[in-house]
Amino acid sequence: MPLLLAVLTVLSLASAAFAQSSAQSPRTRQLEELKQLTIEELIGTDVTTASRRIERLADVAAAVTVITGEDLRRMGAMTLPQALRLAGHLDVAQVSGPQLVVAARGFAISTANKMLVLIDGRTIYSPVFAGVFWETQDVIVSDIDRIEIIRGPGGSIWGANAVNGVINVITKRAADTRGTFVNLAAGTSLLGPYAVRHGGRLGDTGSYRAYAKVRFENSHQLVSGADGHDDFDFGQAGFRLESGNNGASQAFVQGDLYTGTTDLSETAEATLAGGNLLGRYTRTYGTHVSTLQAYYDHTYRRVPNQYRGVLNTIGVDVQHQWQVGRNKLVFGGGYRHYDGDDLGDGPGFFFEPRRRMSHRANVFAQDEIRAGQHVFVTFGSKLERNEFTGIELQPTMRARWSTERRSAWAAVSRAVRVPTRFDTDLRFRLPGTSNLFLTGSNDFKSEKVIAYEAGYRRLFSDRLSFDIATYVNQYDDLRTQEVAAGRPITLGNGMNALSRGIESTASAQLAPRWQMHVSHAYSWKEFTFDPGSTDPTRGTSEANDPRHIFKVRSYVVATNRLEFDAFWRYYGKRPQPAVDAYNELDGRVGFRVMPGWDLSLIGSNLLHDRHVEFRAGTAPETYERSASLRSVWRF
Amino acid sequence: MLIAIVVCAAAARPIAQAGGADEANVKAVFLFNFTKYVTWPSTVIGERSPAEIRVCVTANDTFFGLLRAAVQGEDLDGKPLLPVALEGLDEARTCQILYVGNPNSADGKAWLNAVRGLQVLTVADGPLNDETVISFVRDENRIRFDINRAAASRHGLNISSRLLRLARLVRDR
Repeated sequence: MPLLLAVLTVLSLASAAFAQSSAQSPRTRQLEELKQLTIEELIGTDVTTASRRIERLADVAAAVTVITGEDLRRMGAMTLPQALRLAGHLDVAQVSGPQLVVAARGFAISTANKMLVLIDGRTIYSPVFAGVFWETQDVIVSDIDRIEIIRGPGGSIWGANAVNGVINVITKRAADTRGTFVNLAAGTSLLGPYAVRHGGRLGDTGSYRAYAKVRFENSHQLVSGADGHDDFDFGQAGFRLESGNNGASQAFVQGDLYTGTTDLSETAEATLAGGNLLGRYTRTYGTHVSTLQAYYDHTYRRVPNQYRGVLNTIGVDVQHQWQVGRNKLVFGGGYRHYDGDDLGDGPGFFFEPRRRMSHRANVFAQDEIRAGQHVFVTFGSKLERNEFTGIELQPTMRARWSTERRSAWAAVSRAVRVPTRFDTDLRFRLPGTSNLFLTGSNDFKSEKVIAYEAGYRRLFSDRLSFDIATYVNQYDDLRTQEVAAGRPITLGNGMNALSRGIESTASAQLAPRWQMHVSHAYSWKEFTFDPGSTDPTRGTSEANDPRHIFKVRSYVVATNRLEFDAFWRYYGKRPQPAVDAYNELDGRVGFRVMPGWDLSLIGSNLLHDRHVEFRAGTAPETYERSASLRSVWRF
Repeated sequence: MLIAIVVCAAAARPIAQAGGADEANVKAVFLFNFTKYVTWPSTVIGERSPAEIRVCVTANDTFFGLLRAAVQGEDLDGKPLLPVALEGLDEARTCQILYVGNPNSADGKAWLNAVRGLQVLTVADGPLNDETVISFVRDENRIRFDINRAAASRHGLNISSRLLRLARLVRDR
């Protein structure tokens, strides 16, 4: 009841605002809103025209979702998981504490491994299991320019492990983050994030920024009501140095250092630490753009009496973009070196060999040919070499037809997930003995997918747009646990799958001050097994997906200084381990006290006391209703 | 690796109001902001300092409307801000801020010449000119500004360090 009252209050306030504002033209209204910004924010304001933006989205022959900086601000997102939750069609579930499952088009498991995730071009997925340790990925969310999510195989450009999609978190240029930013927040389930960032001029035309961020999350309850013992404390600091953009060349260097601890029980805690350094140089000669990028990444993870892992990664990539006549060419290559030392010093699992160095090299090329006035055809492929399966080919063929207000596209692609240490080197011991219970295998093959996709985008008017994408994916050589008498269970590739889905999005400006975005994803899959496969799990350790995911976002500008924003989500039930369907609502009331000072009251999981989002086999955690107060200063 | 597929800031929702602002709106609000970070010190004893801050643009219907919306009703230290659409060169000499658009056109040069050596903050589009103190530049999808500190002192103006810090480029010659 109180919730219904709150919703009615919001709606009536909103309609009062519309009555008031209908006298003003949209242009003057925008001007009034711009006057509320500090001069630092004015420099960072995007002046791309709406039609150019539509043009750009229509230029993509793939299923794309973009979360903008404005979306992140409206929803009060202060951590990367909170940011990703907003993406239409993306399956985002909290498993325990800061640990997340992120998947697109299925295959959600606690070690979800079919998405390639990058921050500013640096891959952040761990080659140990091909997934992301989300608890160690943090950025100052207000310094994120946008998050681009491509659903569907991205193997031909992005490489292996982009089987079901690519997530690229792109932070703002240092030139756009001049000035000082301070974020203080406190709430019922976490203290922080406390963040400070300062940016300024470097030399004549360059820019720099430096930041520090810290947060303390409370533990969550288990279903039984007992304490989950997963308090999480995390701190990170970093910098970015950038040369000015003179149209011919640009370079930047950025780095981060982090450390954190996760409680595991009343007495034990896990330690995480790491850092990275990334540099990129871009050169433009007319229609030819060349980029060189190199990075180094170090991660350390220690779970007492169980695991200690150190991973050093070096990556170098070169890319050229070139418009030649009707051809838009993109080609290049890259090299990755992984040095992983994984010690299992507990009774459970270990890696054999303990230390492994991997080398991966790749070359790729793509050509988008203008075949007609409105028709573009793309051919591309990546060739990648890894030490387990040799050379892998990931080709793609795409076509699109675009006019001013409509575009349609179709694609066929092949992508692979190459073996990781989990697949080849993992060993499980029977407790109390030295007998192996489960083992990886050097014969483990790459998982493969052939994806057939199509989509359509339509802009009905300046106020209504629609986007739909559909896919049929054929998976081969998916991971299985093969049982045989007298041998430990061995990881193999005996499973295949066929999945289908439809993803649709509608965005509407319902009234001058009210915008809504609705998305729905439907997916269905079935597994088959190679003759001879003795896997008893029948695919339940590889996927636990809901059939339907609904997400709705509503943005209301009540006055120039007051905003009401809401985000509602529904996830259908997950089959095994069973998780009930759930729906939840997050809301924010934002108030600009004066230019340079914003206050927000953010409520999360408002509809129920607590709910479960995912089960990973052991006692599942619940996520409770909570509220946070956030204050942001910019000067 | 880089964004090979999606080129630049492409919004998922192509709705006119969402996110992106109008270039002209942003410039009008910048002019309003400049009044806060520039001072016009009185240099001649006995000279009355102006009772108002006149923000002038050369007569251009749509932009003047935006300037008026940005500036009308505001004041700085008790002095009201007054938007002015200039008709003649003489009137330009009474401005505190003058925005000329293209500084290299015949008209632009004429306006800038008319206020040479006077305490007028000259603002223009495009790369820095000897006569303009602040120039708007387009940096990808943002409006930034460059500052010519030498021109500022020739016009007898003080520019706050906050504005200098935020400029893309500061020229001292």
